[in-house]
Amino acid sequence: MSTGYSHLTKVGARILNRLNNPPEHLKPFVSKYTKRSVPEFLRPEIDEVDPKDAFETEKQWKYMPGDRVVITRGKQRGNICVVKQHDRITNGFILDENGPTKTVPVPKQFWLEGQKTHMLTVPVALKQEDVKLVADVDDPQNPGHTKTVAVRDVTFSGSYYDPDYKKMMPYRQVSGETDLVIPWPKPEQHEDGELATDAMVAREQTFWVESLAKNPIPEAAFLTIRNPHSKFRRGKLTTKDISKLVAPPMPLSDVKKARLAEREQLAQIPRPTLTEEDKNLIGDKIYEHLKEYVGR
Amino acid sequence: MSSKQLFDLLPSQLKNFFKSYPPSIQYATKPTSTHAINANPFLPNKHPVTNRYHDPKYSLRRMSDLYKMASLYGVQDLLPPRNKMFFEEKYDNKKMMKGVLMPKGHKHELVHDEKMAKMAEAIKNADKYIMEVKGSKYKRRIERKQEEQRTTWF
Repeated sequence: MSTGYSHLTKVGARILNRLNNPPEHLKPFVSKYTKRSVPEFLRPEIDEVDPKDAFETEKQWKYMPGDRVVITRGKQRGNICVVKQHDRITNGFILDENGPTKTVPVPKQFWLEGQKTHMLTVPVALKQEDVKLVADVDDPQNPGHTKTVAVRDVTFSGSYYDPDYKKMMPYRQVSGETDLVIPWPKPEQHEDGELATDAMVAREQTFWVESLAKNPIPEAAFLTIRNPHSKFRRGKLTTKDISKLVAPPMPLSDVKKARLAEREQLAQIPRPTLTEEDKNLIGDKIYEHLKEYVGR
Repeated sequence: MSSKQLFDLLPSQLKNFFKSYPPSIQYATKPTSTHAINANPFLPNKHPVTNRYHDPKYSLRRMSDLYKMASLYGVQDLLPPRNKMFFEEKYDNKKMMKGVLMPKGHKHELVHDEKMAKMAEAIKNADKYIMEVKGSKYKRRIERKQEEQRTTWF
């Protein structure tokens, strides 16, 4: 939550900070009011998660877009759906048309193309514990055939390079049956952008190391890539640099000038000094006093 | 020990003071110009250009310290004149508080005489007041009692 002028003023910052980062005992209260202030078509059905608890890795998500899952809770219990996308705000899964949906009014500026009514049916995210992975495994009773099963849970071990995801992925196994590996679904193919480099071009090797001892860059070429006289390398400030860094002295005000002139004038007036006579006078006084004191 | 050596025995605060304000100068007893040679460092002095009073060069506390230190060595008379008294001089010139000299007294002390007079008056006329309230029956009782208490021959 923020106001338009938070970059200019600290007014109300404490209250806003309190809303953004509420203490533990006020969290349910704040989340309730935050939820209420969001229009229904933007409001998630399940609770939002802390950004620090948000899922990031495949091991955390367990199911990737393209996986088939069975719903185990709610009205659509038993429906087999395909995961369409991850809901990163709630750590939930958005499923296809077989999954749960809600019909909500949507303001006109958010209408989709071809929409004719204010009411729109939008999918609802489901929690990870409310879905189970569906996979085709070999049927031991009918060899050569497969059967569709719901997997209680999945575990991960090892890793391999997945050319579809173009990165290292863990092996996904049925929990308790390490031999039963369920492959990851193929991700949706994206068209390369205009500025993208072709994969073949990127992989082409154009430089070979000939010697570990000899530098491939000739010595004379170093001056063209490194300036030994650079001001960042020099470590010394020139007069020009200093003049840029140091602020000019403030001009003196009339009062200050008058004060300085007065001080100079006063310094020229001879001040009385402590002469030897004065010292003797003081010493005599002390002597008299001590004499009286000792005599008493 | 020579006089100069005795001077050197003084505490540094006193010596520094005498160096800045030597006793050979007759310092002003009243505020003067801050530029004057005889400007008293224990008094607020007026700046001739701005017409503002500058605070004394030595605060009352520092002045008192100096005076008490100087009086230990018997040189307090060489300090510039000041508006504050110490020791015997202070004791001798002490003005008693008005309340100590002529105490007003508490309320019961102030109204005591008046109250006693009022009470005596009331006791003297008590029978008359009671009779006014209680009527002729009480009057007769009083007369009877007086009759009983009367000393007779019988």
